[in-house]
Amino acid sequence: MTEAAPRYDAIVIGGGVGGLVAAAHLAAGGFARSRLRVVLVEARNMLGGTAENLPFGDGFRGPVGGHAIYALDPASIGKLRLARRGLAFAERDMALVALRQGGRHIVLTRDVYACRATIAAHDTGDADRFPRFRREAFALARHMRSFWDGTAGAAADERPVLDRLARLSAAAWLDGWFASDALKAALAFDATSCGFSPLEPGSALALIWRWGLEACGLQGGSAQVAGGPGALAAALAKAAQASGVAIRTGAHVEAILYEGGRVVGVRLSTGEMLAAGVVLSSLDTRRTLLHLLPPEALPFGAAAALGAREGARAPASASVLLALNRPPAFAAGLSARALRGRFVFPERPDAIAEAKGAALTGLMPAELVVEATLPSEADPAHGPISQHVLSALIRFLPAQPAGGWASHRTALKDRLIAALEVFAPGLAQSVVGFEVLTPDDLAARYGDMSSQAADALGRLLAAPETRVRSVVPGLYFCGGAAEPATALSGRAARLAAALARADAKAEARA
Amino acid sequence: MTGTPTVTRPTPFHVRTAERNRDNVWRARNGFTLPAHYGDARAEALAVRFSAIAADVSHRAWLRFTGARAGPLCARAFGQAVAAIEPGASRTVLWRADGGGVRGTGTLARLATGDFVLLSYVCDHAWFEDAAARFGVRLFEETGEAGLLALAGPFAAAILEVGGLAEAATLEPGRHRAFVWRGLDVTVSRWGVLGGYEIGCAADDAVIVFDRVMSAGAGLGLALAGEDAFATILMETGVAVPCADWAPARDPFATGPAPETLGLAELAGAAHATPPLVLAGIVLDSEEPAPRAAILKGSEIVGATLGSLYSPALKRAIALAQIAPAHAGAGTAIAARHAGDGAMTIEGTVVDLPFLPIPDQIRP
Repeated sequence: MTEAAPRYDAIVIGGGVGGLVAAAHLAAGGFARSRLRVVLVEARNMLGGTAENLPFGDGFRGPVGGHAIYALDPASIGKLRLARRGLAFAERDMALVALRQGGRHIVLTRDVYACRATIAAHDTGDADRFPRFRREAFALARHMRSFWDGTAGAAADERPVLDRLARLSAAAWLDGWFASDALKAALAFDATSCGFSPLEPGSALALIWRWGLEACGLQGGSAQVAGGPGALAAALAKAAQASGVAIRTGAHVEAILYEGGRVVGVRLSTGEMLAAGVVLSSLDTRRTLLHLLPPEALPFGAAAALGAREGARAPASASVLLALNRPPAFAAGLSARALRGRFVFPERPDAIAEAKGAALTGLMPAELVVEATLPSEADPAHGPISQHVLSALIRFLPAQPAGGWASHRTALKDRLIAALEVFAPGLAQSVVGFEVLTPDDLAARYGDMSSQAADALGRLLAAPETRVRSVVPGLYFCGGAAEPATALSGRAARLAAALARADAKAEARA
Repeated sequence: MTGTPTVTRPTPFHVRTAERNRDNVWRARNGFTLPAHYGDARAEALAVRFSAIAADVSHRAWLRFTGARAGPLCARAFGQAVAAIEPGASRTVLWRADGGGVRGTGTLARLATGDFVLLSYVCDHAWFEDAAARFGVRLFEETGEAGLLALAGPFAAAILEVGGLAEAATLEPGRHRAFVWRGLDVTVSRWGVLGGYEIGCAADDAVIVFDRVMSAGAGLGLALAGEDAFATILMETGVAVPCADWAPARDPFATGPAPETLGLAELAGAAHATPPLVLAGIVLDSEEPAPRAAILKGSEIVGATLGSLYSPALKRAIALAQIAPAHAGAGTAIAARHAGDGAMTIEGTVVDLPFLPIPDQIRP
């Protein structure tokens, strides 16, 4: 079938962060004596996936995904020499700012003792307990990170701790430490990045995963890429090209070819076939296994398990970019450092749970669950001089609201502005442009990831190799689906490349 | 398998089997009620050695795969070898969970190019349902919708000849064909492990088929065999029956039971080079069966029995057992030890399977 097709050693499907990292590592490492031939095929005409800078308004641009980078693989940054290829950070340690109506915002920075002042405004006991909590939680997260990295080989020891955390909600965990809802909502918010509400079992584990990660060498940190996430994509593309990866954009993979019990290549929508014994997919698991592969390729149990999740409903996310002609005037003011941080609300953990519950039943939430940044604060290149950009990621929205997302686009923007207005009076008057990417828009641009979100706990509990290696010989996952939670990371991609190399070596020896 | 049904149904032959079930003793099998015996299970089991038996096997799970891609689906499910089955032929197959554990065994027959039927002891409809949809294959469960009467023993062919199905008597093992039997549409197959025949018919015709078979066999010593006798005959033939002798894998990713431990290595294709346990037969020095007993060689436990029954032909209890290969050679003296209350140890000897010749190979 693929005899006449151009032959490569490996094909990488998808040119997002995961695909680019995997392709670059594969080509740079090489698992054959001769130089490894790797081709990356991307359906869109640009690389980077969600790591994209979106032009909007009058001369503005804003991040679509990744306005705060927290999971980017440090090993890939180093090995692929991304700093030399243009990767820089405008803000290396973003504060977490839990916005409160009327002022009294909680600002969590790396300096735990500096945090005490904002916490003490709510509860002095919480302020006293916070340094110890942070120390213990981060120590646990450091201990657990080897499980997700697959580096320590101590998974068996960690399993009991994992299982215990998998049954624990962030709210219950934090209830044991703190009294104030404000602090608990602030700390629990990051569980939403894994798709959990703070009241759900497993959300404590999501926090531990998140706090075990490093950004710019800082545990539990978040960073802002200078030039926006598009600059990260550009640096990765340069790394891939420097490694010799052949990059083909506008090439839509229609099918993964399967013969003799293993993958043998891909077929593009043009009918062109590319042959390779190794295929790495950065698409989601279901799309790769159920829709691109022929049914013969999948064992019945695995296919049934995937199929069972096909109709699973998961809350969706939306991205809203606002162009502002002046910076938001948050009540009681915020330091310049805090303005370069992440702003999160609602103010109560229960409101996050209510939002998720509403989203699962197809309803718009009563309170929006928002993580926002002001990327122009640290990196003025996001808009015209003295203009500002606010990037908001709204989580826990219904995948299909009544009437469809097209009829909710403007209302969503208005609701976001109204919600921000509560914390920053006058913000509505400063909006001079906007862009709304509804869940439908995001799915159309980057693919539907709702099935991954529906299995958040399963992904967190899966050992790295089981996330990366598929049940089909020669096929690996290297995108967000292979990560414990969907994030701009590249960890799974690096692992997938290493596993593919090791497997190919073993096969060659055999 | 969809679990043990809680409500049982009669088979198409129930009207006739019920009137012969004088003791009113029943067994529930795969959601159907079947006579345990017709008065003397031992005599019924012996009949297959000396004359012939007829048994109602309509309760066997009957899954039908139809569609252009039924062949690739069956090849994925049962192994590439089934692609070579011609229309009218069949093959004994097994299917396994993703982890390799055996989920079931049965006979896969090809009715036409895109039309396969799987006949098995227990139904595993759910396992194939999702896969059939992905292959674009239509899956029908037709269990109990037709009558299926098994005919086995040295006089089985003669009974068909006497009954007017002489042509069917010449069918090769594994084959099947449709016949018009004095106005009735029937299918005669040779799918069974006993090497006999199965007569399949519409449910409405079951009573007539039953009467004709019994009438044809009246002068040839044909006996009706209930479930107890049939289980004995299967064990004497060395067949480990799922859900009776061993528990099929039910977790989609189960790693056991391994085919080698059930005597199914040949069906599995790539067999384990050095299986930890293999299937063997044990003849016990007792009339008392020893199911689920530890097998001892000296003081060392070297295996365990699966099912165990009294064999009227051998006049001893027999057992199927999973034994370490080093102790599975015929003639090895072992002991079977019951656990729990009334624990006792029974001496025995390992024998090759089958315990007794397959009934079809016995010449009258």
